Amino acid sequence: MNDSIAVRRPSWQLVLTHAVLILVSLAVIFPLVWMISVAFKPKMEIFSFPYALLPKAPSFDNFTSAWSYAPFAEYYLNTVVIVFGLLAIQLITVSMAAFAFARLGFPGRNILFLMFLTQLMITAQSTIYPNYMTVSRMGLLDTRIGVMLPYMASAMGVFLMRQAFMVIPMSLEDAARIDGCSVLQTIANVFIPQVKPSLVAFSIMSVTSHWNEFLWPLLVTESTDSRPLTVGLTVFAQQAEGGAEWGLLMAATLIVSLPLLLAFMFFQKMFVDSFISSGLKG
Amino acid sequence: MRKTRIILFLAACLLAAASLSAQGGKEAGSDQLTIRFYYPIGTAGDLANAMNALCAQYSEENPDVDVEPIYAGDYVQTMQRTLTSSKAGNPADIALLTSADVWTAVDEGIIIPLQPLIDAEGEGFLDRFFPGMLYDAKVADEFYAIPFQKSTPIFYYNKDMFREAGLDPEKAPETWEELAEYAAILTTDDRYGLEIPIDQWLPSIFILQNGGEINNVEGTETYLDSPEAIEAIEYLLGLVEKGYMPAKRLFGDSSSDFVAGKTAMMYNSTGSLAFVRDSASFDWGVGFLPAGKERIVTTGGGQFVICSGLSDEHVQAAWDFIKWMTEPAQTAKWSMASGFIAVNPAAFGLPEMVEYTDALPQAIVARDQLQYAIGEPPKTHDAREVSQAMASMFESILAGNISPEEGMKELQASCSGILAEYR
Repeated sequence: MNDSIAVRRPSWQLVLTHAVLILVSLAVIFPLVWMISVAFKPKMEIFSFPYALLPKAPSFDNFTSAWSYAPFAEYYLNTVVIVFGLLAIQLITVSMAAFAFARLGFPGRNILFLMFLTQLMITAQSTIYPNYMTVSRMGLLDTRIGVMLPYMASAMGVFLMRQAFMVIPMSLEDAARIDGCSVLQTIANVFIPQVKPSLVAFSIMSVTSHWNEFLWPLLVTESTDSRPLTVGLTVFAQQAEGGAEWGLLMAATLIVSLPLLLAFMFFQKMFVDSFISSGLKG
Repeated sequence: MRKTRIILFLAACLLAAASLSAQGGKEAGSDQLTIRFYYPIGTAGDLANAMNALCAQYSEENPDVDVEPIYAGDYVQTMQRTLTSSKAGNPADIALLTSADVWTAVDEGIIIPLQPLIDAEGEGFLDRFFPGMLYDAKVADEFYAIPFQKSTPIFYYNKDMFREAGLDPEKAPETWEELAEYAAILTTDDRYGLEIPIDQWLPSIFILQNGGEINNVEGTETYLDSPEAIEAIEYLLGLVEKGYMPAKRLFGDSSSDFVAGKTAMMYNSTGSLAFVRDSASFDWGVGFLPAGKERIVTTGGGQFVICSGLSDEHVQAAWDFIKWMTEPAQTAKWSMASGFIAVNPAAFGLPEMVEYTDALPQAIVARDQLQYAIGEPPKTHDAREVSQAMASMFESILAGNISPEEGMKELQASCSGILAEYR
């Protein structure tokens, strides 16, 4: 719809814009390309000078040994269960809480909401110890539920959804009531369909952040039954003394991040929109 | 229709999460004792599998005990985990901690003194270890730990570059003077002559070699503003100012630089031996660290501790496992997998170890240098904080932000402040 009023820009300006954009995208994509290149290089080639982007003798050795260093298949399953299980729970808790804050009148609502929001200002790391105590007392150490527990409610999510619910016209809600919808039915049939962009935005943020989460799962899990991918990845990243095995590390990083990378490529538009809309509506 | 599908999907996710996580819990063994063992990974290699194999072997040989090795991240994260679980009343049985953290663990009261267990073994039990490795097992002169994965810095050099520069490729520099001379000869426009990773570990060696001291036995005072200490740091600053050495590199950076030919010589941990062997495309050698007024090296790495709050049965089982792990065969296996030096000298006589050291003779140099080894400085309370202060001050001095004399005075004052509460 902007086409009709678009100002014709001089061509040199277009060239400049594109040059800058291309440079920036090169800078962004380079680490990724480098990771893939190193992942396919044999050990001796990684540090041989001059550095080459294309491996002379590309091999899958790094991938096969990386895969054998840690039980990645089990870790994959754990990560998927934790990330999507958590998302399912969050979507329910978040939309119900958001509805309460947006539409139900009860005493102390605003104060409560404010207190809820202060959570956003507390870094997750500082709550690790109390969370550990809680999970430990509930007997949930070394379980996937234990890993998910502290994140089952999300202040960020409630905030996002509340803002989205606020702009839904009262008349829609009234119409649902008149047609005989209960509160839960109203949420499911009227509110949720209206705020899909926010839901998608929140889902994407939740999935990426929990896919990448490291310290908390490292602390509460002990066995292969509950450990996620990121913990497996660090087996390669420790280089307190001496050099890391870069080939293995890059291969493992690729193994761990591939699903997110692919998802990003397929849902690129949604990804970008999600961050924009979360910014605008938030 | 679509909504129902979404709801079904959510329900399926929930069910999957619930059912799968239910399997996460552990079964309580009947009369089998479970020993939980937190370990870090300190070097590159297939260490998680190597550790699992060792523990599985022990559990097989001792059917009444099940040792469960739990990978806990790096040393810092392992300490974090040990502390958190102990404070939450769910202590592990054994942890593998770095020397600084053993002090903290004692101050936090989460590990037990080992002297009674050592005494119960009778005379000579500690003879199975290299004497230089026992320093880090003590806190204020009392045993709280047993060495397991130990490393020591050695001197690496590029023999091809030595030949090019007309230096004898079979002879590493012996003294500080020679080191500076060699560094001058080997420095060119596109490489450094020498790299010394700067934290507290290596600069401390220079202070000690120069006749200085880092701290007292009680670990309540440091001596970092002594003339010997200042002179040692001045020597390092001289190397940086002349352009022979970069002011700031870390261990991993240096070993990468070395194999990429960006430096001709480096100080680095024995933990890098395997990495250099596998990645260097040139002829390289190792030697003892050049000596100052004295020949002294430090050690690093991890040692076993036993957590407090365990039943006697658990303590004994943990101790038995630690004893087994420090026998020649097990120390040899761990050394070959990880590149750490075997803590038990007898390991070097085993056929598999002879084969290994024949292929990597540099490991023998590291072993022989151990006769000059003392522990990992600083040996004080709050050692991590003291180390941090030392490392950042050394960095500032070498970056030229502050003069060695002023810097070391300031450092001494801040370390003194950190340790005030323990005096």
